[in-house]
Amino acid sequence: MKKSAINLSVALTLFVIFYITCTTIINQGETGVLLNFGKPIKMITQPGIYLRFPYPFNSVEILDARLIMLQPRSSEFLTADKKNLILENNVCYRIADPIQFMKTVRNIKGLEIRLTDLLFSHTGLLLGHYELSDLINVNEEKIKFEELNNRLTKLMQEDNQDLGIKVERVFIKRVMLPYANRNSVYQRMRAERNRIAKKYIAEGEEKAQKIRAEADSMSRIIIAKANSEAMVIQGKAEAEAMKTYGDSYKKNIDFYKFIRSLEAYQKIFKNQATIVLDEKSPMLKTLMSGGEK
Amino acid sequence: MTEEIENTISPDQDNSSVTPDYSRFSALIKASFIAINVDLFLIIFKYLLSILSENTLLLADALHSGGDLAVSIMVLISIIVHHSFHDSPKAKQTEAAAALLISLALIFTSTKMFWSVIFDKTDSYSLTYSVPVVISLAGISIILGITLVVSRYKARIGKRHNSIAFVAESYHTYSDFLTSFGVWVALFLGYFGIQFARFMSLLIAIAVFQVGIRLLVKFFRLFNFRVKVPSRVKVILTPDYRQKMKAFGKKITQNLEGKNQSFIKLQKIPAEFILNAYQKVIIATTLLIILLYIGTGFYKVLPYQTGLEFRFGAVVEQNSAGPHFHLPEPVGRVVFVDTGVPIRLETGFRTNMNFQGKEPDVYLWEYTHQEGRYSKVAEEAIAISGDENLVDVNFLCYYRVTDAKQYALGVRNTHELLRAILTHKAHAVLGHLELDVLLTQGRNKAQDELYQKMKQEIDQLSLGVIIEKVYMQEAHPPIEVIPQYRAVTSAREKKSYIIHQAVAYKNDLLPRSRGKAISIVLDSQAYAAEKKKGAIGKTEHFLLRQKYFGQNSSIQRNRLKWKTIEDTIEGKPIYVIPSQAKRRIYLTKTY
Repeated sequence: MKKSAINLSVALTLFVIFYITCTTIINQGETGVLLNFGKPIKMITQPGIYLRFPYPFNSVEILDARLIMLQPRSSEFLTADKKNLILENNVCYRIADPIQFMKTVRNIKGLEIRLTDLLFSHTGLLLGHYELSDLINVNEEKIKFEELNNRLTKLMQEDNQDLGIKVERVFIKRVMLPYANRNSVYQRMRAERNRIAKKYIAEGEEKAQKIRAEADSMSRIIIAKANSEAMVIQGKAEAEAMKTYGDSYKKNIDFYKFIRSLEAYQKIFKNQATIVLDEKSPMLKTLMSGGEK
Repeated sequence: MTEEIENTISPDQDNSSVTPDYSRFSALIKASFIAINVDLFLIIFKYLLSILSENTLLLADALHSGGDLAVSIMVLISIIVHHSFHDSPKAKQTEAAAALLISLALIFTSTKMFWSVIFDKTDSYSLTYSVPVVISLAGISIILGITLVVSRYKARIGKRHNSIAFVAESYHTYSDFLTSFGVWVALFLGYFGIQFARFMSLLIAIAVFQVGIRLLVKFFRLFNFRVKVPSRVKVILTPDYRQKMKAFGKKITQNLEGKNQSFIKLQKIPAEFILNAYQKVIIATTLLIILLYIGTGFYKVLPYQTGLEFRFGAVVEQNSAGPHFHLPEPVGRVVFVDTGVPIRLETGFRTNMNFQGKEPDVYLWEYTHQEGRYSKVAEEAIAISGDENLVDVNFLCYYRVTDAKQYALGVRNTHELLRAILTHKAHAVLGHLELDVLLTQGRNKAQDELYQKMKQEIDQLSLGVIIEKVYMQEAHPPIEVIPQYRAVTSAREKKSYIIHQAVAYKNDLLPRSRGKAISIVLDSQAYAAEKKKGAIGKTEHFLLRQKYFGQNSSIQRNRLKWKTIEDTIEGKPIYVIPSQAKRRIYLTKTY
């Protein structure tokens, strides 16, 4: 039993040593490159466990097989109409040919430097053919933003075959003005806002004036109409009254004259008056003569 | 070690009258060792074969042989225990217990296999035919031969020596033979393009189940079997333990080589087979460690997760919620991906989910996404609108993982990539919108357009996610121009204030005017009525007087004349002046 235990432990140790030195596990999302004395000889794309010779003979370099996104810093470019723009571009790529990749750039860091150089030069080159109004425009048909993006993608796909990677897509992530230009834009925006504010107030005044004037005129028209109506009514009434008077007085003009004169006297002496009579006045004549005629 | 044992057990008990069945014991031990060695060989052979033929099925088979090894060891232990304590009635049952365990394990495995074939949608028994199948077939043929021979051998030994544990092990090996045979047939047919794996799995399951049942029946039949052993045995340990141990080891080797037949006729108790306390501790500890190691393979998938189960780096299963098992490290591992809950993607700001501090009362433009639970990413938030104005805009996007494998292993950082796509598309959309439209009624349109564009791009890149909704969380002018924007709002208010004032004036004036107009008209109407009625009245009065006057003309005239004079001068001062008066009279106004 002891012997078998020893056998077992020896077998186990050997197995562990074998497992560590002679096998390599390639995970999902990884690519392995089998190196023969440091020389890449075979590419392993399927995940799983693989046999190999121990270290000095064989080793396996494991690379990322996933879609990787390169995010370089944004930088300044010039458009065709000599306007400065800050662009931030991201490149999505995957390592397509690990052996080529290892030969030309060694690792991701080396690749990122090369790829960033390429990206900047191509972006600058392409943007030189576009005006700012091609990227930013109220008219949707005139915008060539997607076109620029697609051309950049195509250029990047065509121009880096020696790096062992496949560029899937380039995204122009940000289009922005440099800081100095931004301040002038802010100033313009402020002026624009002030203009709009003033316009609003002036519009208000305009409307108010109109409303006031309308009200005034309407009021005057209403009064005038009423006045004219009143005149007509009064005139008609007076005419009718006159007719009535005329019709009745006509019947005894003499009496009317007499009555009218009496009324006139009454009205004349209506107020405080001092009456001065001559001794021979007809009014006193009867009084003086003692009732004789 | 030996000293301790010597101290604890007295050598006086050396002479014992009991003679156990040594021939049976040694034969069984021999067979056990053969079985264990065969199992070890099979493990390594299958493992190498699986690497050579790149066949994961064989790898699983190799691991299965590991289980077989454990069973063999268990049988060995049961035999030793049985032999050591065969004076105790309970000890007799150890072999039987081992047999029962094996039979139950077989039934359980077959049921599970059956179940997974019938109900499991994922074809876990699928084979890959691109590998050199011929190597696999040849290898499995060898394995088949070995297992069949070993199975027959075990059965014979078990029957001959009346050991149920060994019989059980033979059945177990036979089930392994059936399994391997099934794999062989499936591979063979698969080589000619016939998909037989699933059906074969079913057949194997049925066969194994039948084997398990047969064993169980046998177990119950033999439950009361009697082993021809003496009733009482004394356990003896002598000081020459080491020598005995050495001699026994030598004899085993000789016996295994078939040179020394005397081993079988051994009449003494080999003291080495009696487990002492120390050995018990070692075995218990080893078993515990193995159990704990296997225990690390159990894992739990939460309801909103998917567990990607790896075996040798390859994803073999995508498990939904519930308890699961993966082979322990370094063979298997598991990665959890949140697939049930929508994931929140933000641009222009980040939310601190664990924020505990004080929040402002109102998130005004000046501090939205800058204070409180939010932090602003200024350079990400600022964008140019179609009319070349700058705008501060934040987007929120909810997406869900549909393909956990692609999401976790197809892209290095899917979340960041989605953010890049969102910002890219946002610039495309904002680039043709006027600022004022964007800030007000254009938001909905921008949101929908962005959603469409993102969806299209993501479908093209096949990222394993779907976009649920894109929100324009916030769009406002940059902080630098906010006072002016507020001034515009104030101006708009002032405008309506001015207009309201004018309207108030109008509303005040017009009703008054209308009232005045009505009063003028009514006045005139009243005047007219007065005039008319006055005229009628006066004329009536005149006519009546005239009528009366006409009858007595001169008297009436006189009366009226005097009446008028009376009325007129009544109460008024009267001065009468003589007609010859030469003096002038001066009257002074007294009132």
